[in-house]
Amino acid sequence: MDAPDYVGALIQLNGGEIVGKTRLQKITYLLEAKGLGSGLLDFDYHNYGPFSAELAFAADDAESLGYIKTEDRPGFHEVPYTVFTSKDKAPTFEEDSDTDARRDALQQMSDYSALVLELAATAVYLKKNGYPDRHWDEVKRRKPLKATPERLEQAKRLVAKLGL
Amino acid sequence: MPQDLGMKDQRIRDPVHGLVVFSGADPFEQLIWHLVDAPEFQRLRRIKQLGFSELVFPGATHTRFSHSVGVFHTARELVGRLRKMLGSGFCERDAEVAVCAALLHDLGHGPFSHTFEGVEKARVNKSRLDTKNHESRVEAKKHETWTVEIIQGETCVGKILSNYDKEFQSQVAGLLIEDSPSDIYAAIVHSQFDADRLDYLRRDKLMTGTEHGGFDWDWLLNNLEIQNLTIGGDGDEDPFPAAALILGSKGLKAAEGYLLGRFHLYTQVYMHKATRAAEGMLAEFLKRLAEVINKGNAANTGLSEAHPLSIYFCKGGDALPNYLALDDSTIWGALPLLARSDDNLLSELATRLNNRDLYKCLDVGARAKSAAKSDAIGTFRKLLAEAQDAGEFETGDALVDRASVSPYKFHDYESPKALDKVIIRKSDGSGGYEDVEELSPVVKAMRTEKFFRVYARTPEVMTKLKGIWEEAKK
Repeated sequence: MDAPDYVGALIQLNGGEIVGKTRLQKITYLLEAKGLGSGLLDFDYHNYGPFSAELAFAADDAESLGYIKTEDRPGFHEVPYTVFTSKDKAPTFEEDSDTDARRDALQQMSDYSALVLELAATAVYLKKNGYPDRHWDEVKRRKPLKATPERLEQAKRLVAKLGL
Repeated sequence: MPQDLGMKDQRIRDPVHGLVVFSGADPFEQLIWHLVDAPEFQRLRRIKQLGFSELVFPGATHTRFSHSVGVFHTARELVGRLRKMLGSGFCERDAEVAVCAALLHDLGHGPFSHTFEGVEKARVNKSRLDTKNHESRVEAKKHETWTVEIIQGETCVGKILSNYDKEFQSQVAGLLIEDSPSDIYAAIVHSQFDADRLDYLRRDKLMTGTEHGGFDWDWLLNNLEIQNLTIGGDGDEDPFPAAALILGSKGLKAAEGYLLGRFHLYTQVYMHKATRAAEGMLAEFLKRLAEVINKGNAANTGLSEAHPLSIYFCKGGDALPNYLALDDSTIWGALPLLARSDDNLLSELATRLNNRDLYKCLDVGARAKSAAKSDAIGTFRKLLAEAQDAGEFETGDALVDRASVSPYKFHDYESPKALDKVIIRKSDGSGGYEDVEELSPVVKAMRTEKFFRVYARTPEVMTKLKGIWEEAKK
């Protein structure tokens, strides 16, 4: 399975829809970090935490290959967001224990906002990249306005649930 | 009476801003001058702002040094505007942190800037695949991380800052690593109208000689206003606040010019096919060089073991002092040596880069557009990957170049899109504001441009690539 196939299958597994590019990036990163990803995508630290240009291109290719549809909708203060929907041609994961674990993780992540996913993914990334003990402090330092105590609490809960 | 040398102003003549003066009587400006004098900052003289763009625009030989001085100057002008707007609420200390961060923001760039970052990423990824340790996911350092290490490390810049004020040093590093502006001073370093963009657009236009990319700088600066915004989450109701520089209602046309100018510079200068071909070739060349050195075969490369590239690419060599020994001149100087390498790919790429003998481009994206077959790009990519897996191409034969350029945002992502909006004050006196897109049909009509190109090493490789394209568009 190559990267566009993976994106198509992931959206399909997430109930046929992923809302927002931030959510797509962060849940994909957290799955990779958990060892349930494709192993094909590189993430590095952009301004908003782990980001994979390959993933963005893979989503373009998945659309071009007819696996998914993307649609921009007006959001908060009219700032648009993107909805990714799987189509009939979308590839699917084989039914095995990895797919079950992936489905469970997606279910857990669906309870959190894109901002909380961003904080959780950033903390996991920093923990693995130079901040093994101070990753949550570093998240606060880098995201002073987003990292409210409530959101940090939720992000920590999610990271613990995912076993990261 | 002779002038006290300790009080003498220092001056730099700059092609964009004219005379940039560092006041001898101002301790903060003297700190800035000492930082400019530090070896880590002087290293930026040896890193060109636009890398290989000079192969296409021969005048574009300006460096990260002149850009950084320009960013400092621009930040100081923005601070002047904030001082006026904030009156007694203005905070000198926060403004100085922002101006110092603006000066130092590019310290961590490696040779050929983003090309080197890409090589580091590929190198770390390869090592992860080789060790089959997917879960550790240690990533390559980006220039922002190196910048903070230089500011906080055992460097001359680090020592100058720590002698001046340790807390100040930590605030400067903190501001550079922050991801969205926490207050209006931070907007000088991270925002739609940050000092970096406001300098590089003007400088790159001037130095390339292009007529694209112009905007009304004086009018823009004079119309800047402060506004606290609420930024939405990405597709859900979880907003966060951010301080932003917005434009007064009379700045609408200047905003259009700014966005169009930036878009044109990206598409006409930064994404030029020849520049991107050279960048792709250098990336391939450095990846190969790192691989050969890392395997302990440095002697086969033509470089001595003491060469900065040999030291950096050997196992465990990627430490800060070794990184700082690398710059564009290290690479240009190594090319004639590497042209004599035993490794054929290294030798060929070194010779070709030195002689500007570039790979030729197959612009798949443009072909797909003119044939109204945008869905063929995904198929082309799949067929190319299959051909590569089947051994139809050798390493270095076909270099893929993908990019996405938007008038508004740089990363294909939603929350930066929200922060990257240009906001204009409404002209009805309500104090409200609107997105420039709602006020300008020109901006509304601008769409993200996606590039998909492949560069061919030889005419034979080009023929194969064209064959794959013919198959893909069926």
